[in-house]
Amino acid sequence: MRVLIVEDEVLVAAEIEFLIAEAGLQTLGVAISSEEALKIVEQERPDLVLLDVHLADGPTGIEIARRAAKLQGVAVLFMTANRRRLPDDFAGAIGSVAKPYTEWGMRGALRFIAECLRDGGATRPAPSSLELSSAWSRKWLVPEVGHSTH
Amino acid sequence: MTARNRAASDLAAAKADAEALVAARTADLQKALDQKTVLLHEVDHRVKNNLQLISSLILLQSRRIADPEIRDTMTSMLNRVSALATVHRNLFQADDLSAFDVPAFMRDIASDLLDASGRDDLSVEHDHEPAAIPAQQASAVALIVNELLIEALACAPESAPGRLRLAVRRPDGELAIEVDHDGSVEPGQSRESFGASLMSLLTRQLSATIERSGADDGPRVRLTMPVADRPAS
Repeated sequence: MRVLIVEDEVLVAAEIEFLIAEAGLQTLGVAISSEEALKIVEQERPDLVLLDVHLADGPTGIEIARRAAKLQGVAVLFMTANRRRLPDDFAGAIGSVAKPYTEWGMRGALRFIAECLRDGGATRPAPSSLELSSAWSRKWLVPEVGHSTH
Repeated sequence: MTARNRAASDLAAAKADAEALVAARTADLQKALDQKTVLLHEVDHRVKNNLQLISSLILLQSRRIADPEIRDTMTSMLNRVSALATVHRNLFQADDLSAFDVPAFMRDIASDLLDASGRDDLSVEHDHEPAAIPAQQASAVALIVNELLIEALACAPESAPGRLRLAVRRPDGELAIEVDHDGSVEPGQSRESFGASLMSLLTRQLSATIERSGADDGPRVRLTMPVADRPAS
């Protein structure tokens, strides 16, 4: 499974490359602007795009997600410190991982998404680090988490 | 126009002027408030991105360290930074910026540390009352909870599946957090010394007390601290 990282902080991107490899996935490349990202998305058709909202050329991530969502077989996951900026439909993306995520939060989200993309659906609830869009949650038939709270 | 009519029309004009002034002033205030809100979101955004950067830096470097002892130290620092990151991720998500949701934090950090421990034989039971505390106290509480959970996970016997129970209570003027588990190691035995002094400093800052007891079914730690019932805004 080929993954494109779209992130303007290169150190954050470098660390994500390790997490991608650990999840058994392959990094296709790192884009730091929307122009670079769109070129790779359209030419290489990655299976998954990890997408920051704020890039080197401004808050252009949402437009990238909308364009990628129109392509067959390209799934998008937002990683953002600005959850409020995301539209209700997540611009067609799977969902988002809120920054600052923890190492294990991101690992869990990647593992879950890799399983769902491979199997075409979920066999367990999404990890708490991952907020799914309602469209993808329905598509993957993701079970709800049960809490033992009173 | 009669004198009476003139007076009425002057009054209406004065009233319209006053209303226009109030409307202009309200618009100015709203604009100033909007600018402040944008600024606040911008600062929030930067804090979150910087915390992300700090975590990534520590991880990148610790991946290159061969000495297991040094790597463990880096991992403990990463856990502490992650606890602070979890606080900031949760703050600002709610509309009330001044309150920190303790049970939501407990769920996040417990799931994170359990994953990090690689102990999928351990189960975590969450038993929480709704409990908000002022945001100013959140970081110190988070760092203490981080140490308590790491200690509890380290004490859980590797030979048998274990259970960890976390409870948050919020009686008037107070917050109580309990961590108990069915491990058999003496409480405090596996403390890393820096972690212990961190806890002692932070409990002083919060005027908190930590009680340790060896309940029949395993050790229990209880943190209690005074909390203002209405978080100051």
